[in-house]
This record gives sequence, C-alpha cells and structure tokens, in this order.
Amino acid sequence: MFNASVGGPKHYGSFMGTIDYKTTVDMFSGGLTYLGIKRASFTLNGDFISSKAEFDPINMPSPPQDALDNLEYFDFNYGTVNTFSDLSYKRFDLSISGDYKVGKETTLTAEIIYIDFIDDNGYVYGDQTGSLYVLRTGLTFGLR
Amino acid sequence: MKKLIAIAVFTIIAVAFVVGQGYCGDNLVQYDWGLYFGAHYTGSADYYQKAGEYYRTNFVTKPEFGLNYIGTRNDKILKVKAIYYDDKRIKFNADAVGGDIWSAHLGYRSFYHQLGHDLLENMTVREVVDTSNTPGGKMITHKDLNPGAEYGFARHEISSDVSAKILNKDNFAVRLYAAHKSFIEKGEHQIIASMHCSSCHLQSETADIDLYSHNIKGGIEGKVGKSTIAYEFGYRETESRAGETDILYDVAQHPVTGGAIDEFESRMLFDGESVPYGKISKTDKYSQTIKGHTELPFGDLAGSFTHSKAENKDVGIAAKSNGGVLKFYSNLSKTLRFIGKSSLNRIRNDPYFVDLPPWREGRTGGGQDFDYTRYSNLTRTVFKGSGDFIYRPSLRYRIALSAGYQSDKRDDYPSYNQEYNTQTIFAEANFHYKPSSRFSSRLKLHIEKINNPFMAVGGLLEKRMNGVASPLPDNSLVYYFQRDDYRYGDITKLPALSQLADISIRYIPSNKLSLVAGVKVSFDKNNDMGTIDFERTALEPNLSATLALNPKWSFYASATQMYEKLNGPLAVALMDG
Amino acid sequence: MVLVKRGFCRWKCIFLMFLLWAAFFTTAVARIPSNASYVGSETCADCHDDISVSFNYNVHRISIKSSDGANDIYCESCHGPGSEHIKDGDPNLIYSFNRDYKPNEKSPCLDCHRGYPEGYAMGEHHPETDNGCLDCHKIHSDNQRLLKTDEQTLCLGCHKEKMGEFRMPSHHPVLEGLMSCTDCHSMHGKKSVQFSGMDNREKCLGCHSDKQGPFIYEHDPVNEDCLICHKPHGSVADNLLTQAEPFVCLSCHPAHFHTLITGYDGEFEAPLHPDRGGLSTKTGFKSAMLTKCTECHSEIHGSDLPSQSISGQGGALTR
Repeated sequence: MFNASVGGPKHYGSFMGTIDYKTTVDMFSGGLTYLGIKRASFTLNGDFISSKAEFDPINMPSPPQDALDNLEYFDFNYGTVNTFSDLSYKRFDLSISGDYKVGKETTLTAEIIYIDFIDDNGYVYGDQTGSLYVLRTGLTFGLR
Repeated sequence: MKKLIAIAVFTIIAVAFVVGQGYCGDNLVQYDWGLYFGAHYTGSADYYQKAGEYYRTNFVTKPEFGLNYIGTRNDKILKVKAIYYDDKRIKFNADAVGGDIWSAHLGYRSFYHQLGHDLLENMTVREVVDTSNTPGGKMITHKDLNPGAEYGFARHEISSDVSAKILNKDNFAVRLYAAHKSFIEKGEHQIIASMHCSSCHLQSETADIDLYSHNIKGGIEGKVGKSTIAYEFGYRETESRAGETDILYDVAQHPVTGGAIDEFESRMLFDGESVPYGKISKTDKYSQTIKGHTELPFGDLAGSFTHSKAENKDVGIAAKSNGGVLKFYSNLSKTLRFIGKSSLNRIRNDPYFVDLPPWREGRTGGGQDFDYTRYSNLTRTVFKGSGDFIYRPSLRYRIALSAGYQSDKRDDYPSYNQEYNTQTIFAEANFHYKPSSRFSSRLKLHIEKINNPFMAVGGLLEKRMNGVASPLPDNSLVYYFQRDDYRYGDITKLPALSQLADISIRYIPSNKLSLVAGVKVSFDKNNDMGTIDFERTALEPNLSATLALNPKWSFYASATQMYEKLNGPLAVALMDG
Repeated sequence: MVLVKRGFCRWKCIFLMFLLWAAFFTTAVARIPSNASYVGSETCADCHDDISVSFNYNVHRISIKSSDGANDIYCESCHGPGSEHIKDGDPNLIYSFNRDYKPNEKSPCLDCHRGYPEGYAMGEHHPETDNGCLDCHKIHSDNQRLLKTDEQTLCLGCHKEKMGEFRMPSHHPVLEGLMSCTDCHSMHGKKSVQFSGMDNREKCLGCHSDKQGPFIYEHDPVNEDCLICHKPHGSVADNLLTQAEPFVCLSCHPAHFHTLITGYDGEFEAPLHPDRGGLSTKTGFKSAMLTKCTECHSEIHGSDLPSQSISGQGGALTR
C-alpha cells in the first residue's frame, strides 16, 4: 500500500524498455558405416550442437524527475538483467557400434554411447555440465 | 519384474497359438524369430541429469533382453517385438491380424525422465533503506528441505486396440472397434511454495508423482456400398494418487518487527497453517461422435459431429463442446483436385463463483468484497473454412494453392459479456518440381493475416497515481488493488501478420552421392498494439550429404542452423509501497 | 535438315514429338492384354520367391479378398492378371506401382484405404508426395506398418530441420527412440482444418491430460493454444518453452515493481527467522524476480487452490 498522506501515493506510472531476444542453434552431424570385413559391420555417428538463448542488455528510458526524487534508493538500471537467464549449451553425442556374425544365426553386437553436455551459463539448476557413457554388448540368436 | 513375466508369458502363449498345431497338409505355417541377450553398463561424471536426461546412471551392469517374432498360420499373422533395456525402459508390441476380419494390437513402453533441481540461489536478498547500504525492510529468502535430491519419474504407457468385422458381405460390412491407452507416471518432483507476506519466503520440498490417465475409445462402423457411417465414444479419466502435500505457511506479520499480525492476517486467505499444495484434480472427458463418408459421382463427402464434455470432478466445473466438420474432395479433372473443409465448434466452459472472505474484515476502512465469478476465455465459437486446389499435370510438377479463414469469437474475454474476436485469413502455395529421379525440389509460401490476435488486454502499463488516486473511505492508505483502475496497454507475442517461406532441394548426382539442402525463413510482426511494435524473424538453413563410396564405406554429414530474433517489453510500475 | 517453311517445320516437330511421346509411353507403361487371366499367387512365387517368402507375413496376403476359385490371387489383385506376363516374363505386361502410378489417378491403394473414418483423404499432404504411397511404404515387406525403414529415419529424411530441434537441450525424446512422430502426427490426413490452437491443445492433452482442467483459476493462454508458450519438437529453454523465462512471461505481463528495489550488499539474517538469510546483492531483487517466474508462480497451467492474497482474488497461481 502507499502512504497517501504526504503528496499522494508514491506511484509515478510505468516505464518500459524493449528486450531483443535471440536464439542461435548450430548442429553438425556425421557418421560412417564400414562393411569391409566379412560378416561384420561397423558404424560411427557423431553429433555436435551448440545452442544459445539470450537477450541484449535492456535500455530503460529515464523515469520522470519526481520518481527519481521520491523513489530513493531505487535502482532504475536494468542493464544486467539479461545475464540472469542467458542460456548457452554445447552437447556432443558419439556412438560407435559394431556387429559380427559369429554363426549362421548368431550375431555378436557391441556399442558405446558417449554424451557430453557443457553448460556455459548456469541457470537456476546450477552448472549442468556433465557426461554419460553406456557400454553395451549382446548376442542375437535367430534370423530377425 | 512382473511386467517382464507378463510379457514373456504372453509371448509364449501367442507363439504356441500360431505354431502349436504344426504344419498339416495345405496349412501355411511359417515363422521367424530372434532372441537377444545382452548387458549394458552406464557411467557418468559430474552433473549427469542433463546429459543423461532419459538414461539412468547406475554404475552397475544390467542385463538386456530382446525378442522379435513373426509368425503366420493360414490367414493369421502375429508379430511380437519386445525390448527390455532396464526395469524402467521397456518396449513391447504385439500385433495380430486374422484375415480381413479382425486385428488386435497390444503395446507397452516405458522410460525414465530426469528432472532438474532448482537451487533457488537467486532467492536471497534484503532491501537497503539508505545510501549507506543499511539493510532493512523487505527481503526474500528460501529454504530447500531436500537439498541434493534427485528428481525424475518413470512414464509407463499401455495401449491396445481391437477391431472386428461382425458382418462382412460384398457391399455391406459392420465393424466393431475398441482402443485403450493408459499412461502412468511415478516418481518425485520438486515443489516450491512461495509465502507472500511475513517475508517473501520460498520453500522447496519433494513431492510424489503418481499420475494415472486412462483413455478408452470404442465404436461401430457400418459400410453400405460406397458409404460409411460410424458412431464412436471416447472417455478419458485422469487422477493423481500421490498423497496430498501440505505446506506450512508462515504467519503473516510485519517482516521486521513481527507486529501488525491482525492487519496482515486480515488480508490473507490463509497463513500460519498447513494447507494443501500442488493438487492435481481428478478430471475426465467423454466424447461422442457420429461420422460418415460417401463417394459421390463428383467426389467424396465426409462429415462428423462431436459432443464432448471435459469435467473437473473435484470442483464440479465442466467445459462442453459441440462441433461438426465437413470435408469435400473432388477430382475436378485428371490433373486438378479440390479439397474443401469447414468446421464449426461451440465450446462453453462453466463459470465459477469464487467466494472470498471480506478483505480486512472488522478493520477500519475494510470489509471490501472481492467475490467474483470467473468467466473463461475458453467459452467461444470457432468457425474454420478452407479450400485447396492441387494441380498435378505429371509426376514432375505439383502446385497446390490453399486459402482459409478462421474466426474465434470469445464470449467473455477479457471480462464477462465482452466479445473478443480474432479473425485469421491465410493463403499458401506449395510447389513441387521433380524433373527426374535425381532432382526434386519443394517450395512453400505461407502468409497469414490475423485481425485482433489473442492478447493480454489492458494490463501492461499503469497510469500515474500520484496526485490522482485517493484512499478509500475511512482509509489513510492507497492499496495495491486500486492500481487495477489505472492499468492500460495491450500486449501479445502473437503476430498480426505472419509470413513463411520454406524451400528444400534434393540432388542425387550419382548412385553414390545424395545432397539435400533447404532453408526456412519466417517473419512475423504486430504493429497494432499501441504499446510496442513486435517483430520476429527466424531462419533455419540445413544441408546434408550422403556418400556411399563403395560397398564397404558410406558416409553422411549434415549441418542445421536455427536463428531466431524477436522483441518484447519490459514494463515496470514506478512505485514504492 | 533444311527447313522449307517455318510453319511446316513447327507442325512436323510437334508430330515427331508426339510420336516419341507415344512410343515412350507405349513401351514403358503396362499394357495388360485384355485376354490375360489370373494364374494364382503360387505361380507368381515360382519366379518372385524372395518377395513371396516375406509376403507370407504381409497383412495384404490375408486381408485382400481375392480368391478365384482354386487359386489365391492376392498378387494379381493389385498387379493385374498375370497370364501374359508369365509367358515370356515381360515386365510391361503386368502393373508396376513404381512405373505405372500416375498422380491424381485413383491409387490402387485407395481402393481399400480410403475415406472416413480412416482419414486417408485423397490429396492431404503425404499422399501427394512424389510417388504416392510408395514414398514411405514398401508394400511387400513385413516391416511394422509396411514402412520402408524405421519411422524416425523416414520422417526425418524429409523433415531435416526437425532433427536439429530434437537435439536441442529440451526436447521430446524421439531421437532416443522413446517416442515416435506418429504419437502426435497423423501421417495420412488431418482430421480437421489446417490451423487451430484448439487442435494443438487437444493433441497435447492426449498425453498431458493433467493440464486439461477446467480449473477455477485459469491462465488464459493455456485455454488458447499450447504453442503460444511451448515448442513441440525441441527448444533451448527449459520445458520446451519458446523462449526462456522471464522473457516469455514479460511478453504479456509487467514485471514486479519490487525489481526496482536496491538490494543490500552483504550477508543478512531474517529478523524473525534467524535460520533464513544469506548473501544479498544490489541486484538481488531483480535476480529474484527476473530469472524464473515459475519459481513462485508454479501452477502456471491453472489451479483449483487459491493463492494467499484476498485482494489478488486468489488467482496468482502460486499454489
């Protein structure tokens, strides 16, 4: 509530600035398959994505003089607000897999999956940089 | 474990059903199968919940199983595919078909989704009261009752459908069908309760997720000659079986002196007590549809009428909808086709009377009544109509031109009995050019003009109150809610004009090389608001190449970029209170 | 060649072109003789045994009503009678979908897969791709839904930009194989007219039915269109938001006036709750209220529980 007894409520209207928001995503993928060894195949896939979502520093207009005079200790500068929610990530996925026909109806498979996530600008969750790897192997019996 | 046993038993029975009788005389019995046994080890470093958002890091070796079966006996086919990755990631599908009489499907899938944990580190601040950095006055604090908790949930989905022709003559057939889909989410998530007065305090706790949703659908369809008519009903029920989470809210009082408890309390609906938080209400939705289709000498005509009701069972409010769709297709000539569609839908969402205790009851100048009836912007009439002309003189060229109109008439937005109408007109052109099997291209151009897009009405900015606003009778202070009379300014991020161009080219210079390139450009703007001029630009180019060098080596590479720029406001009331 | 008269040459050229065109079509298009008769699928299998074996698992084998007395003729139900074709194996004497399908002609597939309620409307998006049904389907195969390859590879092969979107930090798990394109999209025809926030909303509520409501305290854009705030495939911001908070919220709402307050620069203790406090900064109020609005306004899709303030009429969506 406002104190109305001295000069009326300390309310001087609104002021407004413009936010320019940008999202940039770059993604590259590549892979190869090799079938050169008899009864075997080998596949390599890699993906890299760099993504950013941020807005430019906000320029607010000057408030009216009576607002500046009466709203003491207030900070009218919103120039650093953009840094609170800027997002910048990089992610790298790599998978290497191979299979080998051990017998007519038996195939041995192996796969490595590696995911690396880099958080350059921690948000409310903190720094989410981390990595994960999965090692898989197995045998398939039958024709399907 | 139970799921695994159920899948295994079902599979054994199904396989036995198909092949049990063996090959006999003229019967066709054929089957193929594959079994997979494996294991995986998952490890991680640092914060793994984002890198492994859909994985679960165990640091132990876990077994995997898989089954792939396909079998046929005379006019029946059964396909089963099951993959067990871990107890939270399982996929199972079984499909069976019996001639052209019946078909059935059973499916199950599950996965685990890691969630983040908000540290609330930005929720710590105290006000300064002078230029000497003296703390005092307002503050924001937080407390995490489960620091370091790891959140996530497993989502399980079971689906089935069955269809059977109960009558099957040459020109007359009747089919019954039914489908079901359930999903279950179980896990834990973070809840953050914010307490207004006393201090702006946020409290983070762990709450269970135990959500069930069951969806069933069934119908009967009759086919007579070239016409089909069907009736279908649908029902969906959603409820949370997680125990109620109660949060203890602070006593509302002056944040520094601890005084004025009565004054603060008179402005609150609740304080100093435990109240439920984050409740998911039990809801359901039922629908009934009649639909039909017929082949006419000059084209096909299809239509449907649907009545539905979505209800919040806990509070007894419902949204009812009645709507119809009409579609017409016609080959105007050997090379020209026309598709016309229209629909009309009337939705009514029950209003709800919000009964509130008087504000500052029993205090000088208080007793204001803030009761109100909540009317909904969902209540509306929607009309849509569109026409498409598709010209295809040969396999080389295709040109499609579309245009359409949509009208959304909201009955009660922004407030009761205030009509808010949005009208959209669109036009689209699609060009396909494929001169040979080695080259094909697509170009799409789309433009949309929206009159009065949905926006937040009259709430962005505030007029000056200093020297203008006065306290209410018997009051010495001007209160926050009195600002409502000084608000103005419409704002939205929806465009009044939207334009899109999308081009894609595929070129195959040889049997070894394939190239695909494309770009999507869009531009939106809205200069009708009077507050800001909104603009949005997006650009998405992509390029890929596949090279099969020889029977041994093949490569692929691709690059995709997305760039988007838009603007929006930051509006702040210049006030202190 | 010496041209005598321009007009004569023009007509001669046109006639030559017509002959060439006619020759091309008469030699390349199936001309099933009218005296051709059905021979039965077992006869087809004598030469096409590779197709025949996998076709035993194909739903078309058992669902096409095609019995001509003694012989099943499910091959010829689609490809036409084959008696003349088997005499010398001339491929032009039998119907080939790859070669003989003409756009805008009634595709043989649509003889059965047509009309309401299946929704396989003629001319809606995918049926008009270059080769009709065969762009995605391999009719003789025993794959799931007779698709040429797995759904993900098929769809993303044309819709390449979606691959990038599914790799963004927040995404529906399609590339992980935990969801598929057909969970949301109807490949063969839209069941309603092109655009509508209501249609988007109904689609999302199929899996996220806890957002259905109706609620006592509503958030109006939730009743309009989920895509006002969310991107369905993937986004850089959390929770599939089009832009990160607070920008997406500030696009429609003013910021709290408390963001103007200067924060104390130093450690503090809450006077009434000594266990609360911490390190405050000058921009602390801005950081608290302009980082993530849903830290306080957590029930952003709607709620039945009132927030604390009476004058706020309980609709702050904080509970």
